[in-house]
Amino acid sequence: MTLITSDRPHGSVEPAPDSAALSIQAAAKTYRALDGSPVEALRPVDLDVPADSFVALVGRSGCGKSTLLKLVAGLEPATSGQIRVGGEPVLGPPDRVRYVFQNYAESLLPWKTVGENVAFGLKHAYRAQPVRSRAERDALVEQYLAEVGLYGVADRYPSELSGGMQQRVAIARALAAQPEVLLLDEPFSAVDALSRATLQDLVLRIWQEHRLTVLFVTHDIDEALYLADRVVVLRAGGAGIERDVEVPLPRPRDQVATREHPDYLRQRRDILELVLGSDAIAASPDGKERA
Amino acid sequence: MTVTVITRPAASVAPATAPNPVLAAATRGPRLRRLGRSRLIGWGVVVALVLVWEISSWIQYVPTISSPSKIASVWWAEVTEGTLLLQLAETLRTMAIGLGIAAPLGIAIGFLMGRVRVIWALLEPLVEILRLTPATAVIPVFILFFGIGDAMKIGVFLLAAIFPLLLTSYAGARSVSTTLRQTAQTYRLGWWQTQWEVALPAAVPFILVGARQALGMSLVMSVVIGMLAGNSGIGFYILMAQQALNIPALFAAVFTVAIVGYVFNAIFLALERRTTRWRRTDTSN
Repeated sequence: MTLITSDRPHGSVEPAPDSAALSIQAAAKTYRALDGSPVEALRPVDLDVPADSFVALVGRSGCGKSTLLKLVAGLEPATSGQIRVGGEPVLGPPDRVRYVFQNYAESLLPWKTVGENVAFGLKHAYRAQPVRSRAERDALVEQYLAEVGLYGVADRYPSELSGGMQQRVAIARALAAQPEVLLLDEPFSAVDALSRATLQDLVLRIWQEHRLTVLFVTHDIDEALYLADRVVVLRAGGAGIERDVEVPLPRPRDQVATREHPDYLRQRRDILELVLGSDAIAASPDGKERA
Repeated sequence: MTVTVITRPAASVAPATAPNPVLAAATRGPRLRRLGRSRLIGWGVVVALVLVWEISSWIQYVPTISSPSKIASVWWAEVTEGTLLLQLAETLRTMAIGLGIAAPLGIAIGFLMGRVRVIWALLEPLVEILRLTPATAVIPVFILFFGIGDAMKIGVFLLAAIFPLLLTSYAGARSVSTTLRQTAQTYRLGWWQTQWEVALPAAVPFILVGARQALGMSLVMSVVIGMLAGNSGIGFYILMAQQALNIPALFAAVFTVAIVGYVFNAIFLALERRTTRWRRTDTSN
């Protein structure tokens, strides 16, 4: 069924269904609790992510956004439904995907230097680059570190760097593997606010320069709106998609101008109401919000 | 003035509360402060104890506790003309063979138990029973089966050393966090690659601790074996000196074992520091 009927270039204006980099069809996840009773972590979700687009998943904790990302990454099997990455069904971690974890300190190999960590990405790459000598490898490593704004740290250990710098190393490592799809799971939630702004712009630049398809999980609505082409709001309690919002804000985005844009403020209010509204449903009968 | 930061060795005994560096610098000189925090003063205590022992023997000599100078002269004579070094070498030879077999075996079994569920299920009860059996209790059994030759001694060293290595290797193999495991998965490492590039390096710090424990156990056994087998080795030497009431030779042998233990431990600590440099670096936030 995967006949190529279109000769349109990658990421054209009007994407055909086949050009979706990620296609999620009725994917759901149910866990078994310790007593054997089923726990619905995520009720069936449909979502298509076109190639080269930037989609953010937002929602409160427990809405299943991280679960959905783990399903796409092939780290956990979906209980039902189907997920396709680049047209191929996800049965395990797909090669064209790389994942940036929230917990960067545990994701980096602590016994390897920063440079060796990036070289790990080069070695275990989707699109391997020819490395004929150590000097060539080191040059590539330096190039990827420079892309994330790190200089002169190749010989340091991750534990010697700040949190924001460690997450940059993790991003450089993922880039070195030259993936088509980049999944990020609340990558900046443990980083201070000012570093976060810099890292957001870094991710935007990398997304555009490497023509990546990005699925970005965050609980920060401002972050989602600032970064994404589309913001997908998940319902509380894993109840599926609440709303799928196009973000028509102009690019390049700017930390000050974009955040003052009337469309930004309007959409921010709408999404906030949605997310907080799903809280009202969960509130106690007397109308008071739960602490 | 720049405040000198003294990096403390990982395994030395750290003071419970670090003195306030600013206050200390204000009250005492930086050199004195550095001395106060280094282990050099601990060596001063050792020297002082030996001196007290020596001086007390000048005041009143008690043959059963001898004196440091007498022990030193007997030690030198035993090393140059006697059999002390030969007996020590004999013990270290069997110990090296025992440890040489125990290390790859213990590390491999422990690691696989930590990584492959069926191997864990297969061996866990056996390991639990055997690891709590004191190797000293097994010596008479081994003597019965293997006699008092090399086979018995190597077997005892093997038994004493394998469990610390096995258990720490197991703990190290289990120490791989979910995030690290998933990182290996998303970079599509195969089973062997995951073990070799992720799990084994993660287990190394644990294994080095086990190696040091194994060495300590082996040193204990090195003496006990000679005493129980009664044919050769440093333990046999100590037993003979005691039965001949050759007190200075007895002390000389005991101190020799202590020095050997200290040197081995120091070598392993240096190895640990070299290979786990990444662990001791501070996070800046």
